[in-house]
Amino acid sequence: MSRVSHYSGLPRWLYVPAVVGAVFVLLPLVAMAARVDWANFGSLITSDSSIAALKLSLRTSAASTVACIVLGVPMAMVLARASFPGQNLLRSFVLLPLVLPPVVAGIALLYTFGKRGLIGESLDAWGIHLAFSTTAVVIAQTFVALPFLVVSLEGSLRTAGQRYEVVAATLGARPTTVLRRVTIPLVLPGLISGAVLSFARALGEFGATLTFAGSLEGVTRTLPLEIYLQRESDADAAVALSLVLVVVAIVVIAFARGARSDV
Amino acid sequence: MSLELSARVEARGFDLEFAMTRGEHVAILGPNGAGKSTTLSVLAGLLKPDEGRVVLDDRVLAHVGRGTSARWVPPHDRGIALMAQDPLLFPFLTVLENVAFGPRSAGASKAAARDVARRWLGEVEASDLATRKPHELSGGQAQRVALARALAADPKVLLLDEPLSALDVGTAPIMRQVLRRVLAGRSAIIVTHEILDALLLADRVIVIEGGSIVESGPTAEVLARPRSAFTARLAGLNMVVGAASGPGVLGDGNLLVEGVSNGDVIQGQHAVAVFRPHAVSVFVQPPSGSPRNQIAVTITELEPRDGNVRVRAGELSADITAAAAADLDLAPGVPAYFSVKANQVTIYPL
Repeated sequence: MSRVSHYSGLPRWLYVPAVVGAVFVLLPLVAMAARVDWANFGSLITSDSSIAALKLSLRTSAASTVACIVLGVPMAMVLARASFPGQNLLRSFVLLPLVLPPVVAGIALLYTFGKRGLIGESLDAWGIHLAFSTTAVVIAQTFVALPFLVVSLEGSLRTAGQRYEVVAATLGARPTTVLRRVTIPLVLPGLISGAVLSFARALGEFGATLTFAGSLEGVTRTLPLEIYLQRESDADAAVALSLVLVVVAIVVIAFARGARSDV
Repeated sequence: MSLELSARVEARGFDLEFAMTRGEHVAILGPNGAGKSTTLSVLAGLLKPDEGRVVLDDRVLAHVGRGTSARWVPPHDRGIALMAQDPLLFPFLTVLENVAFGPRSAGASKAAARDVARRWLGEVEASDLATRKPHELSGGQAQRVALARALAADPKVLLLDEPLSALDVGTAPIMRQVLRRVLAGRSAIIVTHEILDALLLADRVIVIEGGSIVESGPTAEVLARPRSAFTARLAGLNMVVGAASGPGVLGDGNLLVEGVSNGDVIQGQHAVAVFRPHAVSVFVQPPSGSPRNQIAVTITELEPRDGNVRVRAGELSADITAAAAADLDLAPGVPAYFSVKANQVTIYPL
């Protein structure tokens, strides 16, 4: 593909802070990659505890991504299409986990689903104990990742508009048919990139997980928790595992961009 | 009686009422913001009026406001399809799947829906486009596919919102002919601001201004004797309605206007000759040895228009320069000759 150069209209000095910003983002990654003990890289990332943490992370992140889709798609639809009193307020609250410190989210979840929590107490009576379980990890990750999907999808829904849905309805399609055959296919790129972002956020979740689910090897100790622990005892392992997360993150971003440009 | 609408929308100052019979084609004309789209939205069930009633074939589709028996049938259950100015083909489906959408939604099997879709694609002369995606179509092709999609849903009433306005002059005539053919025997409401479309596609016109009906009646009659300012402006085109005769149209008073036919004009059948006022030259003496159409007229009115002078003579008009008008010493009551080249006249079947 040949590139046509258009007049950009940018003042030249603007490139200086832009380059500084780019270096600021990339330099720490380079610094970390430089510290990797490449000779032992293989064995460092394949230790039993590392493998257990990676598997747990992928499993819980996948589960919370599914939960985000199941809950987030209807939420985005309602926020984008319906109109009801308090809609803007609700939208703000849905976005809250985005700006909330994860530790605070963890404490909030603990007082909701924990042993003495708001609904945890009733669940406890039914013999369901959520806190400090793998389910708790999924709950924590879903809580923090949900807004990413809702925001991304709501944006796509608004951009797509309702014109196609209106035409579909006048052609005789019931609301469920319109949703399945028109709306979802229309916003699929937004849905995919939202799901990918949610997955990435879930994969990196640390604070809420530690507070609400703890750090039990193989049960709740996800890769970020494992890295944090290893940092104390075995810095080389921590760096190697960090690099694994960076690679996963890059793959995820590439995937999300690919989905976007499909439109 | 087939379709009946009465609706009032306070916020838009909209208040109108009309009825149409089965198989009738009604054109809705009016300036921007007059309430044409509001009319279609209320009929299709996309906009709930403050007060109103929509009845289709004895079935109450909407009853809002007065009385207690409120009723609001959702758009998908009305049997009223809407085709917008923008074709809005689903971008992720092929042309065939787009057209099959209506039958599929009505519960037809995939194969049956495709058969229906193929038939309608044939009707709009778009069979060869079946496997394409919408982004691979030209504007005219997309509009024909959108028409096929609307018809495949087998609506009791088809609403067309400016179906030709997005098309260029080259493709509009093809679409117009396709519309004439497929709309035959089907109830349709056509919103347009093209006088020609109203004349060629509709039996009756309703002129809306400021949210209410200012004029209505058989198309040719309303256009020939426009009462509202809007219709008068629209009716700027010269039209001679009569019987197709040779290469022209034989109108009232043995007036023969020759032209170039557009569509299947059948001898002796109703047809209309259409030409623009600026294609008309005005003479005081009969021009000799000219191959042009010559129409003997008596000037009724002169009015300035866009830097020119519009010379009216009954239902016909000519646009000439102010200098020419002064040269000819034209005035109301003066006999004159309107002259127009045959290649400036288009003959349409009616």
